[in-house]
Amino acid sequence: MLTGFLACAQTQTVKGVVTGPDGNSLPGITVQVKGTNTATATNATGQYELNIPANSTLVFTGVGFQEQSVKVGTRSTVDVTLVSSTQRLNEVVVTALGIKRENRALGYSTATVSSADLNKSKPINVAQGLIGQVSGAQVSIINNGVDPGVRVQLRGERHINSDNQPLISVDGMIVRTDFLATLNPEDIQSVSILKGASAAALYGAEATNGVMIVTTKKGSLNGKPSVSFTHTQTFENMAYFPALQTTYSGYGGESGVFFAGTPYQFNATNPYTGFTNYIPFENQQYGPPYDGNPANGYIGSPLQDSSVFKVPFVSPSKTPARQFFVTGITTQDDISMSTGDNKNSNYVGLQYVGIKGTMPKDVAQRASFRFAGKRTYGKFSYDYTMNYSYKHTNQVGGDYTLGWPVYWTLLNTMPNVPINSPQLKDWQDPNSFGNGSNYSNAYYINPWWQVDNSRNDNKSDNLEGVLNTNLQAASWLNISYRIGAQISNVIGKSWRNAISFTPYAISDPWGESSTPKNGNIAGAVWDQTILYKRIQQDLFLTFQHKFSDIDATLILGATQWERSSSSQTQSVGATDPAGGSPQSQKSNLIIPGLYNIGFHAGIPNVGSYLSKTRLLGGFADLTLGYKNFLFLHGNFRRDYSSLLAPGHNSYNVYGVDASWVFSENIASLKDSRVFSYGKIRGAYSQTGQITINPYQTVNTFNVSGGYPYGGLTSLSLSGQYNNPANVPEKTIEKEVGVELGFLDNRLSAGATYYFDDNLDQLFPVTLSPATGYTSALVNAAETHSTGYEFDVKATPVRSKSGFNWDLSGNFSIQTTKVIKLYGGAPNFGIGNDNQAIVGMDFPQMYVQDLNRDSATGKVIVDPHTGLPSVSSDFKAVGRTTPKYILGLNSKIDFKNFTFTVVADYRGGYVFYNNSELNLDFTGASVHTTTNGRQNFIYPNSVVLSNGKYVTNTNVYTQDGNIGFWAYSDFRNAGADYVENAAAWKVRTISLSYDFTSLLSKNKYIKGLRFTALCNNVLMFRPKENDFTDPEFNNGNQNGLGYNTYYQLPPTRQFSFILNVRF
Amino acid sequence: MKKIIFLFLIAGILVTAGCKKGYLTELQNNPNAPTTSAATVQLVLPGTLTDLVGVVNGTGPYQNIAVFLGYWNYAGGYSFNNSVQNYVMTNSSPEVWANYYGILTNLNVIHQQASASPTLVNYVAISNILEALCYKNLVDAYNDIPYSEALKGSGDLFPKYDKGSDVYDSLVASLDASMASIQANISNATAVTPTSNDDIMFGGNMHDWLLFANTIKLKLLVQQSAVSAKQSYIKTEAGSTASVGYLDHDALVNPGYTAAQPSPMYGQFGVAPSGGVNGDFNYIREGGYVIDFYKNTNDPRLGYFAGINGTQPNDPGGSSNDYYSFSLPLNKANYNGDYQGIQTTPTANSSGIGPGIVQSPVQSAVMMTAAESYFVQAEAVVRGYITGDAEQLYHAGITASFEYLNVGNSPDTYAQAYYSQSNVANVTWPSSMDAQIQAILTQKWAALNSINVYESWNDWRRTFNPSINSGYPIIPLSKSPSLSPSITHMPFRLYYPASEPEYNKTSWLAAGGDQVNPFTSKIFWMP
Repeated sequence: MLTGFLACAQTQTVKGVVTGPDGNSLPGITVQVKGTNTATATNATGQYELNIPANSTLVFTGVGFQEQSVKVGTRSTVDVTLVSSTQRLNEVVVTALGIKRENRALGYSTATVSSADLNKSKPINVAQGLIGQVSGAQVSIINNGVDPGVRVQLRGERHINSDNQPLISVDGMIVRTDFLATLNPEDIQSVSILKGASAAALYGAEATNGVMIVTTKKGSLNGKPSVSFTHTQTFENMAYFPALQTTYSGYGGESGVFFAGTPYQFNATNPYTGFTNYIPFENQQYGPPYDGNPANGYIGSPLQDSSVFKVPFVSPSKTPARQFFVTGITTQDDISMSTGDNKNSNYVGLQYVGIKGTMPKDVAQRASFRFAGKRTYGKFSYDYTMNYSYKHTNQVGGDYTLGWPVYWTLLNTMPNVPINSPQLKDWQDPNSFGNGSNYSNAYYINPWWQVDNSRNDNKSDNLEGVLNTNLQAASWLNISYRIGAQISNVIGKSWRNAISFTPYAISDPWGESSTPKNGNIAGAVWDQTILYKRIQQDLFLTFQHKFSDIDATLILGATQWERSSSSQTQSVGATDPAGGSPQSQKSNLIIPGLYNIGFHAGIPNVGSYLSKTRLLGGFADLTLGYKNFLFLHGNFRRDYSSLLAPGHNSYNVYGVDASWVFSENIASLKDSRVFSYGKIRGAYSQTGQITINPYQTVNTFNVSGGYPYGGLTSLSLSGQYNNPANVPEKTIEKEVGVELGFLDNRLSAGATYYFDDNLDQLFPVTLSPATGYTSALVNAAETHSTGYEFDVKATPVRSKSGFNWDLSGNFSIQTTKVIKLYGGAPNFGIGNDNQAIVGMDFPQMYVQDLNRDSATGKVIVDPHTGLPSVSSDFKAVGRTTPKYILGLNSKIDFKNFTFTVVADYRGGYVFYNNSELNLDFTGASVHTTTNGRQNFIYPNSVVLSNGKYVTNTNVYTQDGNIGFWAYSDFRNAGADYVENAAAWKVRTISLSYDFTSLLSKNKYIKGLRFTALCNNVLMFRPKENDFTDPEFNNGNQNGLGYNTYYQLPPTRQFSFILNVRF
Repeated sequence: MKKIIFLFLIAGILVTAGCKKGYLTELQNNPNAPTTSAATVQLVLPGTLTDLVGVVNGTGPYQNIAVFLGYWNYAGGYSFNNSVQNYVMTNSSPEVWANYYGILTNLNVIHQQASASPTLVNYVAISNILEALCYKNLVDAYNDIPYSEALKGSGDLFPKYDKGSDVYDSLVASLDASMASIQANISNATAVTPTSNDDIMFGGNMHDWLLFANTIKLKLLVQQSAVSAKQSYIKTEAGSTASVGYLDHDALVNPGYTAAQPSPMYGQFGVAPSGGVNGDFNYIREGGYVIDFYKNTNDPRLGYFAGINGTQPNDPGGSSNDYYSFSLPLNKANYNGDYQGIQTTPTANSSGIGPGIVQSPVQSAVMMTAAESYFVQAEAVVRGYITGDAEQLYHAGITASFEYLNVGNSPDTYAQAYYSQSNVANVTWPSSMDAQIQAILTQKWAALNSINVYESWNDWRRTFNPSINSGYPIIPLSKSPSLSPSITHMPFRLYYPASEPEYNKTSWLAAGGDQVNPFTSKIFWMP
C-alpha cells in the first residue's frame, strides 16, 4: 500500500543539516514527511537526506527539542536550527492516559521535565530530581540515610486524609508511589506533570492530587546503535547538626553517695558548695562545666578489677554525635544501549547503585534492568517495556532497651565520651570499656554494639511490564489497547542479637540503677513478606475528523484494574521501637547470633493481612480545535469501585477546558518580533476521590490486648468507626492561566490561578474516647484551596561565541482553608499535633502554650518558684505546610563548560522541633545553656501581685539548671518548640566539561563528559531554628512539620560523574 | 489477523469487566478481621475483665497517687522525679480516661449484643455491673463526665458531660436493676450462664456477681458520706438491698497468666521471661510512711508488702535469695524507704514492692478484695447506713488482708494477734464513732497498699478534714525542697485529658474543663 502511494506521487530529494541552538550539529533528529510514514533520522554530523512527495512539509522532532515544521516547497536543501525544549511552547505533551496533545490545545496547567533536567543532580530517586523544577510541586526529603524518604505533593495539602501525593503512571501503568524509588532516573525520557484535578480528570478517582506521568526511553530513531556509560561517585557527609553544647558534664538529678569505697567516691551534691557534682555514668548533661579538674578525669563507674576509663575533664571540640558518623560513599554505574529507527527500536538500560551510608555499616544496593522497544507493521504497531529491579537496604535498628535509634543514643552521650576510642568500639572484648557490662553510660547502650547487632534488612524484587498495541483502523479511527502489571515482592527481616552481662554488672554495685545492664536480654527477630500486585487494562477508541476549520477528536475508553497485597509477619522478641521493651516480650530467640525464628522460646507474634481492590471505569473525551488557535476540550468518566459499600460505590468525574492561542489570531501580534506566543486558558472540573482502605465499610474487632492466654482468647472492638454510608470525596476545580512568549520565545512566562472546593472529605477524625471510638471514618470536612503558580524561563544571553545562559524560576502560593467540619465540630486532630480547624489554614499545629496574661501576652510565673506553667487548653500556632515555594534554576553553557545551580525557598509555615524538646531534657542542646545554667528571671514574665499581673523583676526561677530545662512546665508547652520553618536552600551546584569536541577524530567514542556536582549545598534558616532541616518530618503522612530524633541530621553530597557515549 | 487479535482483546476486556456478577461486591467481605456478628458476648467478656483489672490493680495510671498516699517512692540514684515529688499534675499524667472509656466501649458491645437476645440476660447484668464500676471510677477522678451521651459512636461525636452526682444516682439504679435481674433468672434454665471460659472472674457463679454488684452499690453510697443532703437517700438505698449480702471473698481475675504472659503486677515488678528483674522493681520502692505504719503497729504484713532491703525477686525459691524467705517475727531494721520528696536511699538500702504483692507470674489480678468489702460494710454500719456488727466486720477486713497475703501460712492466727493488741491507735477497735471510722479507713489504707491505690485516694478525699467527720491517716506533704509553698495538700482530682480540649472542646468548655484546678476543684462528694 505504501508502495502504491509512492508510485502515484511526484517525488523530489531534499537534504540538509540540523543544528541546535548552540550551533552544534544534532544527530538522531527524526525528519518526517508530515502526514506520512516517510521518515529518516540525522546522522552523526546532523545531516539527512530524504525522498519526498512534492509540496511536502517536513517535521523535525528530537528529544529535548521543540518540534518544528518546515514547508519544503521546491527547495532541495533545508537546514534547520531547532530550539531547545526548555523554551518550548508548541511542544507535544503527554497528558492523561498517555494521550499526546499539543501544549497549545491544553486548557489546564502542565509541566514537563526532560531527562536532562531530571538528571541534573544525578539523583538516585526520580522524585529528588524534580526539586525546584516545577511550580506547584513540593518535593520533600523527609529523612536521609541509605534509603531516603521522599514525599511529592502537587498544589499542596488539599485533602485531609489521603496522602495528597500524586498518582504515578509509568508508561501508562499506574504504580505505587514507592515504586519511584526503584526506577533508574537515567531510563526516563520525560516526566509530565499534570498539576490539578482538571488535567487528571480522565484518570478518575485516583488522580485528584494530580498525576506524574513517567515515560521511559524506547530506543533511538536514527538507525545507529548508541551506547552510553556513566559512572558516578558520590561522597556524603552529615552537614547540619543541631546546636549541641560541649560545656557541661554529666548530671541527671541524682542524689546519694556513689562509688563508695573507691578513690572516686563522691556525693551527687557537693556538701560544701551545694552544687551538683559530675556524675560520670549519666546520659543527662546538667553537671559542672568541664574545667580540667583531674579528680573528674574519667567516665563510667569502676569495673570489678577497680579499673576506670580515664578521660580528661575538658570540653571536647566535637560531641560524640559529630564524631560517630562517617563519610558515605555511593557508586552508580549506568549502561544503556539504544538502537533502531523510526519504525522499530529498542532500548536496554542497566544500572547498579551501591551505597555506603553516613551511619557506619548502613548499606544499600539497587540493580535495575529495563528492556523497551517499539515495532511497527503498517497500520499496526506496539511498544513494550519490561523493568526489573532489585533493591536491598541494610540499616541499623533499635537498641535492646526501648528500641532507641543510634542517633538518640549519641545525643544522650556526655560530650566528653571519646566515642571513637578503640576501647569503646571493641565491644566484643569482655575486658574492654566498650563491652556491655562495662560501658560508661548507665541508661543508653554502646552504639557500636547496636551497629553490629541490631539490623533492619529489606529486599525487594520489582517487576513492571506494559504492552501497548495500536491499530490505525481507518484514517479516522485509531484503536489501542494496553495491558500492564506491576508486581513487588518485599522481604523484610530485622534482628537484634542477645546480650548478657556479668553478675557484677547486673548487681549494680555502684547504685547507678543502670537500665541496660539490669538483666540479660535474649535475641529477637522479625520477618515480613509482602506481595503487591496491580494489573490494569485499558481500551481506547480514538475518532478524528476535520470539519472544515474544526479539528475534532473523540476518545472513548474503558479501564479496569485490580490491585492486591498480601503480607505475613512473624516475630519473637522486640525489634521495632513500637514493640515495647524486650523484657516484656512473650517470646525470644534461644541461640545468640542465629536469627531464624524457628529457634525460639515462648509464643511468637504472627500476623497476616490481605487486601484486594477493583475498579471499573468508562470514559469519553472530546477535543475541538478551531483553526489551530481555539480549543475546547471536555471529558466524562464514570467509575465503579469496590472500596465503598454497594449503593455508594459509583461516581462521575467530568471537566471542560478551553484554550485560545491569541498570538495566532490577532494580526498585530502575529507578526510582532517581540511577542512570539500568547495563550489564555481556563478549566472547570469535578472529580471524585476515595480515600479509604479496603474493607473500611464495616466495624471490626481485634484480638484483645495480651490474648490469647493458652486456649482462651478474646475480642475487642477496633477503635475506628467505619461508616458504611460514606461517599467519595468531591473536588470542584476552577483554573485559569496565561502563557506568554517573547523574542522568539527566549523569554517565556506562565501564570495559573486555581480555586478548589473540596467537599465530603473523607478521613478518620480523632475522637474523645468517651464516644466509644478513638476515631471515626466519616465524610468529615469541606475545604477550599486556592493557589497561584508562576513560571518564567529566559535565555538572557545567547552569543555566537557559545556563551548561553538559561534561567528559569517558578513560584507558587498555596492555601487550603477549612470551611466546615462534620457535626459542626470546631476542630479535628489528624496526628503529630496537626489539626483541621474551621476558618484556618490547613493543617495547623495545635499545641499547648504557657499560661499568659491575657492583657499583655506575657508569660505568668509562680511568685514562689519563678517558673511558668502550662495552659490546659490548646491553641493553633501556624500552618505546617509552606505557603510560598520558590524554585530557581540557572544553566550557563560556555564552550565545553556547563554550570548549573538549583535553589529554592519555602516559607510561610512552622514546624515542631520535638527533638529539641527532648534535647532540653537531656541537657545536650545549646538552648539549655542560655543562662549559664544559673537561676534567672524568666524573660518578659509577669507575676501576680495584689490581684494584678506586674512585670517580674525579682522572682528568679528556683532552678536554672535541670530543674528548669528538664523538669519544669516550660517543656510541657509545645508552643515553646514551634519554630519558623522557612529556609533557603541551594540544592545543587554542578559544573561539567564536555570533551566530545576534543575527541572528534576518535572513531569509537562519540561523547565524553565529566561533571562535578554538590547536592544540598547550603541551607539558610532563621536563627530560632538551630536544630535541623524543617523538611525532615516524622513519617510520610499529612501530619507535617514534626521533627523527632528518628530523623538523622541532613547531609551534603559531592558527586563526580563521568559519561562516555559510544 | 490483527483485527482478530483486537476483537479478541475487546471481547476479553468486556468479559472480565462486565459480565462477572459480584465482581465489585464480593470484595466487601473483610478477610482480615471479624465483624460484630462474630464477636459473641462470650468472646468479648474476658478482654474487658483483664483490661479493667489491669487499671484497677495495675500500676501505670496510679503510680503518682501511690506516691502521694505514702505507699511508694523512688530509689535514690535515679533522676529526682520532679513531677511526682512536687505533685505536678498534667493533662497526660495521671490519666485514666482513655483506659476506662476503652473498656466501657467493649462492655457496651456486650450490653448491646446481650440485649438483643432474651437468653443473655445474665450478660446484660454483668455488663451493667462492670460499667457501674468504670463510671464510678471516672466520676471519682473527673467529677462531671460524658455518660448519657457517651459511647454512641458516630451518633454523637461530641458527647456532653453529665453531673457526677447524676451519674452516681443512675449507677445505683442500674445496679438495683441488675441485681433484680440476676435474682429473677438465677434458676431460669433458659438464661445462658457464663462459664469459666468467659467469666474469668467468678467462673459463671451469678451469686458472686450479685454480691459484687451490691458491694459496688454500697461503695457508691458510702462514697457520698460527706454529702449531707443525701443522707436519707443513702440509708434507704443501702437498706433496700442489704439482705442480698456483700462480697465475702477476693474477686480475682485470671485468664491463665503464665511466666511468658504474667499477671499485670508481676509483669511490672517481677522477673522477665528472659531473666532479670523488671526495671520498675529497682526504681519504685516501698514508701517510708507505710513502712513506718507497719513497723509502729507491729504488723507482720510489713514483710509481705515490702521486700528486705536490696533484695530482688530474681530467683523465686532459690537459695541465694532472701526476697521470699524470711521468718516471723520480722527484723524491722531490714525494711526501709524514703518519704515522698526525699529520694536518697539507693535500691541496695531500700525495700522493693514485697513478695505478698509480687508473688508469681501466674498470680491472679485483684478486682476487689474481700478486705475492702468488709471495711466498706464496717463503715456503713458505723455511719448507720446498714445494720451489723462493725467491730466484727472490721476484724474480718483485717483478717481478709492477712489471708490475701497468707501471712506466716497461718493468716487468721496472725491477724487475730495483730488486731487484739491493746491500745494501739488505729489497730485496737476504739469506742467513739470518729475513732472507729478513722481506724477502719486506716486499716483499709494499710490493706490496699499496692492493690487498689485509687480507693485509698477516694477515702482520703472524702474524709481528709478531721473537723468534718473522722480522719484519714495523716500523710504529710511531700518533703521535696522545690515544692511550691502554694501547695498545701495532695491533689483533689485529675485534669481532663488532652483529648477533651483537642477533640471535644465544646462539651469540655461547657463542663468548665478550662477552669479545673486539681488542687481546688472538688468531686461532688468531697466535703
